[in-house]
Amino acid sequence: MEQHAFPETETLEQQVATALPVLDVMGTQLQQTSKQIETAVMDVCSRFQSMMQRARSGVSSASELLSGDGATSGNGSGSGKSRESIGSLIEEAQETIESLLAHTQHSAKVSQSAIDRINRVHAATDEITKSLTQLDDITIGNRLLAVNARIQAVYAGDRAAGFGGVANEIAVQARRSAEIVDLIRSVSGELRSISQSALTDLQVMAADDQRAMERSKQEVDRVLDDFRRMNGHTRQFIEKMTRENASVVDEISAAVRSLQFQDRISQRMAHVIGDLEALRAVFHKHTHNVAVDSKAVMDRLSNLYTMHEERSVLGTNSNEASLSDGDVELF
Amino acid sequence: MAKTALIVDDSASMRQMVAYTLRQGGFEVVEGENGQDALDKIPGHKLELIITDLNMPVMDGITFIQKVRELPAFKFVPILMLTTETQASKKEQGKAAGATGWIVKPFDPEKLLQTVAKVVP
Repeated sequence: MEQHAFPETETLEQQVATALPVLDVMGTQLQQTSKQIETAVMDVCSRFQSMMQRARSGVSSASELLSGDGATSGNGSGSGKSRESIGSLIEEAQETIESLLAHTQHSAKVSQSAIDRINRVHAATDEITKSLTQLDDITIGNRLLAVNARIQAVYAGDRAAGFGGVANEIAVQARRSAEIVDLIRSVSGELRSISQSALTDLQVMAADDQRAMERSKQEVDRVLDDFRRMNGHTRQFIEKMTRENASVVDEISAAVRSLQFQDRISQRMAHVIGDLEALRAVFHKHTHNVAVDSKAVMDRLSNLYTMHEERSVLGTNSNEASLSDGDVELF
Repeated sequence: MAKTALIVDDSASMRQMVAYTLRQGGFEVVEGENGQDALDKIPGHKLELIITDLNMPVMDGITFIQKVRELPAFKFVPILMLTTETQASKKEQGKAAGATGWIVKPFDPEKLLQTVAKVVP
């Protein structure tokens, strides 16, 4: 244990007078200590409050993410519409896929309707073909009629020369009729061939679409299921983090409350400083006429003290090295 | 528009803690280091709340409250005393001076805000 003995003097007054400056030093030490504690506590409080702010902000952001409320969308539209939660985004994607599927099913119905109409065109071309066959028969009949008319005209001689002209004309009409029938048959065949190709293409396309949509739906359902699972895990994690952040806020709040001890210490020190000043005034009253040399006492304190600010109180820091807190000096 | 509170305490750390708590409660804060300093800062402010320490240099909390209550504009502003003092006689002095409530340090931030919510309409 360190000794605090004061130099031996002849009287009690001399001893008190010699030690009196120590009371001043003690008072100043207490004041500075109180100030240092206050500064340190304020620094710690500021950091705690910053931590609380961030923790609260984290809780708030996580809650917004979970609920989908609060923040506005960042699409630059300036609509101010609330951002969707992850869950509602997944549901929205599901609805979009179902809408696409419905659209494809509608397209399939339209394709089927087109197929039906093309089938009706086929039936119509079949009727045309039948009618052309009948026209063929009529043409053949007309040709036979023309031949017979010519034969009868030859038998009748000059008197039936006009009748022969009619027979020739019938033959010409029969030939032209046969040519038109051939043309219609050719066009009808072409039409049937084209519509058959369109029918085949439509059937293939509709089947491909249906298969592609089924595959896409299965794939999207699988991805959405994965998203839902991930969203569930994320939600659980965020909820856990939110609880932990809230707990951190409570703990920091309690720590800040505990730091209020400094105010109590500060007050108690102020009371002690006041008492020291009163004590010094009393001692000074009884010793102000006593001649003393306190240098030895102050030197002893200077040797006892370890910190720059302690020695600065004594005014004996002229040989202090210019080092600050945290400085490193290698020898 | 945010409400304004005046905090009077000679301890800078206490002012900091109370100010932070009140800001969390939506207040704007004006600070005074003692009763006289606070009185000097009051003009020009519309205050909805005053929280003051009791033992302060220059002017203590009781005197400060008496002076504030003499000002017509602040006659009915809620004033809470926030102090380490627990003596019943001191509390009576505070009540007689015009204090609205008495809170013993160290304070709990949540409880402080709950108390403030009771006295600030």
